[in-house]
Amino acid sequence: MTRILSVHSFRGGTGKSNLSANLAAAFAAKGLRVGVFDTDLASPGIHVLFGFTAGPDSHTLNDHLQGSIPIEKCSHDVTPASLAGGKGRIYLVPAAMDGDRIARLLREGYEVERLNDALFSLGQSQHLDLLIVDTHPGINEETLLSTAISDCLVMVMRPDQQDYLGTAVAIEVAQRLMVPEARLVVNKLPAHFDAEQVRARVAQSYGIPVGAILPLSDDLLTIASGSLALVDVPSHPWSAGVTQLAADLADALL
Amino acid sequence: MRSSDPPDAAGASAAAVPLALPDGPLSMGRLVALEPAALRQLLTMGLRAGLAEPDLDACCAAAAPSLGQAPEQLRARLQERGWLRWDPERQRWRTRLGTDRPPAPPQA
Repeated sequence: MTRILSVHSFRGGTGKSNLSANLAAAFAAKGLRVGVFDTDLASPGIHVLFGFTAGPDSHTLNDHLQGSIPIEKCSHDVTPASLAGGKGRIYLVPAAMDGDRIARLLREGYEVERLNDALFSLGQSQHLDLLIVDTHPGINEETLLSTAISDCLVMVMRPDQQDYLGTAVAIEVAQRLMVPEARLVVNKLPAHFDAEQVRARVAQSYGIPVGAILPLSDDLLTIASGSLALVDVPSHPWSAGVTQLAADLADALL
Repeated sequence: MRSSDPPDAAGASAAAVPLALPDGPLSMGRLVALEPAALRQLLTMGLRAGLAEPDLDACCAAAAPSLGQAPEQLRARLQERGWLRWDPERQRWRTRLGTDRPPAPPQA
């Protein structure tokens, strides 16, 4: 059965999409079949990291949620060439990127139940081991749904006061929805912070396991802002942290 | 009476105590606020893989006492409200979210 992993943050700019995409690459490198749903429909972006550009006939999640296109036709194999020789695969369900489609979705909305059905349907039809849901930041109907159906919630935060408070709210909601597993990831940790102190502080504050403490890295912004760090610079400390997190999650979920 | 209130302390029969589930379609916002926890668990399991018949019976048995209801009554009320439906394809009971849509910004 496909395991669902939601990657969420209370506020934007935490690096949630970057983490989602690179986790997918780490799982694929372990030979797993992974789906990635971009449910950040108002501000999609994860497709860029996979180098995916929608052609005129490429279907997106919007075509399923607001139309009649089967979800299978909205998924695209974006497995990086360096991983394509192995068993692992990455299937991306991107959100529409053009302004008109985004505006239409925001204007007309959609039935969130269709999103639920789509996740389970794609997992089954593509025989996925894992499905990663890259969510919209904050709390709304879609993020509550993806949290509720998750086998594991990965909460991403930056080490600042607003994120500390907002993350507490999101974790409380996840606990009310009885999510079986949760991990906290502190991303973009400035170099002058003591990583172990931060780890201890957040572990004590939230009472859920800390999955990773990932460094803020100017060089990574230059090297891999539009691609997968795990593929381009696998030995970078940020990439190594994500690889370790993926191993921990795979142990917990599979 | 709210769904989180305890059963009638005077000991009224289960049939006389109406189940105070909110009216209208089930939304995620509504689900997350529901009490008792066993009812949230039932509906959350229904959202995930769905519930086989024995699972649903067990969940109703766990949730019903807090609501002063018999398990069969709780099950019937969830179905009446359209919150639970039988999925013939998966052969499971599944939680059905209503037609509430994500909020849209005001139109210009």
